[in-house]
Amino acid sequence: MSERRYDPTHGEWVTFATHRQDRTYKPAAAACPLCPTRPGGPETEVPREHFDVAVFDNRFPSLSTEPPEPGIAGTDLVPVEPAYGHCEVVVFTDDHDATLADVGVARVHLLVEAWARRVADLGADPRVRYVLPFENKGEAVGVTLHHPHGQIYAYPDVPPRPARELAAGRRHHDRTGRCVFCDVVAAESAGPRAVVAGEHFVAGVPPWARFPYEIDIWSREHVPSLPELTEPARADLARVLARVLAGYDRFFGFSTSYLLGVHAAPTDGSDRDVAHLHLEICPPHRGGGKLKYLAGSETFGGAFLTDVAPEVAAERLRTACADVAVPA
Amino acid sequence: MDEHGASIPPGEDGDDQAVHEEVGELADGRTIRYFTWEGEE
Repeated sequence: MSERRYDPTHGEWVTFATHRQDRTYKPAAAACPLCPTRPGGPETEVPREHFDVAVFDNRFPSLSTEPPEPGIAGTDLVPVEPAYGHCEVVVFTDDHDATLADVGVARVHLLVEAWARRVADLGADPRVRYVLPFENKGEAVGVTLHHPHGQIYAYPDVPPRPARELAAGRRHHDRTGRCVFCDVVAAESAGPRAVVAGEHFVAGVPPWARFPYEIDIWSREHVPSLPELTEPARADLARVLARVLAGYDRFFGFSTSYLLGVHAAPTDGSDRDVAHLHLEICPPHRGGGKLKYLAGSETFGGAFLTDVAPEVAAERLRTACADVAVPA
Repeated sequence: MDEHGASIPPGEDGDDQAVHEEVGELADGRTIRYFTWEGEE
């Protein structure tokens, strides 16, 4: 079963992909499907002995270009449609034990290049409206494969959170004539919540951080999407991102779990005046090994409660990022 | 470092390099792409 059903009570689509129950679950390192295929070893997803960054179609996709017909008929109240889209796996390195925080700036830069190319390619599909690169890292956020990797989803519509972001940006633009993120960059890049300052990107704890140590990385210029970044800006994004991730590990004292997502403009050409490229990184930890859970208020109210002031979190993370060793 | 954040000077990591992309096919027909910096294969 693989289909999308519309929730008319919230105005959102929900994707069902029941075959994913059978996906590989926390295999031993020797059976990792994302490791390179080595002579005499098991055949993996990547049929090469060495590679840098590899991107391939997900073997257990939630969305696909040839989705099956839905298992039930839709109605006027609850429309149902095939789960069209693309799901790709992005493997950051052939080193099973590495993390994005320690692969080095050059590799993170190569990842940014791969993201940009895949966003352009997947976004060219006329049935795709939004492309979302993301990484789920660590068991604390439910990762089932430990090999360093991320994913790219290409949706047939704009998912709810980017849609709300674009709607808020439209309201701000109607009121002020400006991009809300351009105003955020102007306010935050010289303020107490800034964490890492690059030439083209700035990282900071947003004043509205939903997670205690959330860091957003904003483009200083109004750039709607990754493929439109200049080459120096891509290199700068890699430097800022690598430093932020290394800083997290230094601050927490262990390899940090997090959710990382890239927000950009819809790929159908809409909302380019209010869409502003940025990354959101949300570690679930709130310090001392304690986790922040999405509980009643967050789940049912959609109202986040955070118990660390963004200014305090920013000062701690800024200190951790300042002189942390970042491999080239 | 100041209150504006840890400042990063412009670097040279990959700035002037080109990305090489190679497209292949897995045994079950799925597409795989390999990305590397030009000259590092």
